[in-house]
Amino acid sequence: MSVRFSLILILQLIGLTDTWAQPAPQNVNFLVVGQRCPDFTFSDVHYFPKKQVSLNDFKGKWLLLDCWNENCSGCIAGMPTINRMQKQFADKVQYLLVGYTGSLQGRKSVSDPTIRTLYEKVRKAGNLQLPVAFDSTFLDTHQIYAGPYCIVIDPDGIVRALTGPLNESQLTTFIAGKTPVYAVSYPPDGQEQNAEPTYDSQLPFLTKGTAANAGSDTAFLFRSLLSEWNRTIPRYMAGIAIDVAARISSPPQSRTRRFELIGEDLKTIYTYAYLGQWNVSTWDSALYGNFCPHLVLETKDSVLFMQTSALWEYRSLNSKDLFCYSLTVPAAKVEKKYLMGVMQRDLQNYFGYNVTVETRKMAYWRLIVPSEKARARLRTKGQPFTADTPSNGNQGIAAKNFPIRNLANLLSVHYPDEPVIDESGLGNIDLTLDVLMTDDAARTKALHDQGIELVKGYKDMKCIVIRDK
Amino acid sequence: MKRSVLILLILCLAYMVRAQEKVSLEYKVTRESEKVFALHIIATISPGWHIYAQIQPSGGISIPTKITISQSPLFVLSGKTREVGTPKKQKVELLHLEQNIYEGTVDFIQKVQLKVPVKTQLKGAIIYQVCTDEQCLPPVTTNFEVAIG
Repeated sequence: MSVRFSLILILQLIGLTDTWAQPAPQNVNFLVVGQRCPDFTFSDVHYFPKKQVSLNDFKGKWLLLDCWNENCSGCIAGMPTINRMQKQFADKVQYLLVGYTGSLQGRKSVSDPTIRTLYEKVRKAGNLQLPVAFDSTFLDTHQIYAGPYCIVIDPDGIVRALTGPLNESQLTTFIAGKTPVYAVSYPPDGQEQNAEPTYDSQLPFLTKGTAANAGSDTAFLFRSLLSEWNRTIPRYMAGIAIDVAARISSPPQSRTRRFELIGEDLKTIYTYAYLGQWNVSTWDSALYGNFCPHLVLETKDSVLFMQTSALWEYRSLNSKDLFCYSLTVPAAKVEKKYLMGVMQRDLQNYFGYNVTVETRKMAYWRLIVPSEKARARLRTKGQPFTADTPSNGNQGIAAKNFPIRNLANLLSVHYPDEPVIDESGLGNIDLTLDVLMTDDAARTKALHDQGIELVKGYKDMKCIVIRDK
Repeated sequence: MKRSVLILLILCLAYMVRAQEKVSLEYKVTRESEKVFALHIIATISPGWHIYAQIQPSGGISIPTKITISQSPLFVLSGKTREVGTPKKQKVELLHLEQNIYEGTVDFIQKVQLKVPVKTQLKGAIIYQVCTDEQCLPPVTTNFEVAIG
């Protein structure tokens, strides 16, 4: 649950920005987290053994390109911290300041000495030993104009993060091969570059709250609307039961209530329509284990139903796979069954699938903890709930006093074919898994070491079955 | 019970984050006398962020706010753009520099005098840079067009 929410929150942070109309140069090539950093050459490097450096020169070390510009007071304020961290992590990390020789104000040549003079001043005042490269090609190519814009590149040359200022604990986490929670840089990638933030959650989707043809464009008592998602729309979903979401979505004095799923995959949309919530809640004892969290697809083409929640890389989402659904109803109509009924009919009208909820014998992964010793060890010692789980859930987990059912949900990502359902009978547990979760063998072993086993099983569950008409 | 409170909280957070624009601008025109109007550009700045005043000390590095209004035969600008807000200082230690900033809200006021009693448009742009003490975004240019007269 919390992982899902953090995804939502992270996605909220993306795409909400002012417009910044720097004309894009010809060869714009945005950096992408998880991909190899495109090779670069800086030929104006100071306070470093080489005058010219390229990506290969840093192989085997973490390279932090701290991009800044002459208008960035915050960048300068952070340099003493970077200087200290460079010393502290000297054997593992190389910081390289990258100063922009171009202008954010469009009025000078790249040979302008301003930033060079500025760095000299700052370097002396702060007694900095940091190497600096002066450049505009790299920064223009990757459209880096916020500062500091820190590019975290691992010893193999893979971009691990595009972020702002990093602190010591975040850097330590990166070096340990994990991903800390970090602020997404501005803009997170160039696809937002020309994107106006066009979604205001205070208003119904695709309205402006202004005069329209014969009245206000929000004057309707009932409206349901479906559209494709696109990258200018921040993704947003209710994350709770359909009736609860509808109840709290509009101001209390308003005559209507609204339920919206903005930028959601069809699995989530159909699950809302037929279950009334986005997923089977771990705390719903009537549903958990009895309602299959996967859809049963008996369609020729299941591509639309690929669940995207595992696709943490927002950038890799194909906008055609996601939809925006907005439903406005009179306030008095807000009731789960009614809302689900409207949604079911809308989906039927547009997509036309034949959908039923049936009981079927389903294969699933039983999450069990057979050993008494392991059970005693896992059972929470009662500390307050804490969870230090990196946002993508792939880098292990360190949590206290959290429901073992949440672990089952986290693991589901790695068992795409059948759901993982907790049958351990343990409530809340304390657990640390320090393992790359995407490594099947390592993950299985780490779980086994903790006494947690996943065993294939079959049971009758209610399922949402989707067939072609 | 606890959980639903948590969910509500997270939902509210989601709303807050969604509403986050570092600076929102509101335009207003007030009539001062028969031919004199005042254009107000009211900037509301997210907590933790600031924008820069139009005037900066020498050696200042951040981009000052600048308002430009297209010339027209119908009006003249009277005086400079005033700022109504609580001016603050941002220290940049390594540069021994104190820059003039605004947090919260600031109203930029430009008086305009019509030469003839007509209705017309003020067209212009505001350029500003928004920063925290730790980071800066590239400057933003917002065009505006407001009616006077």
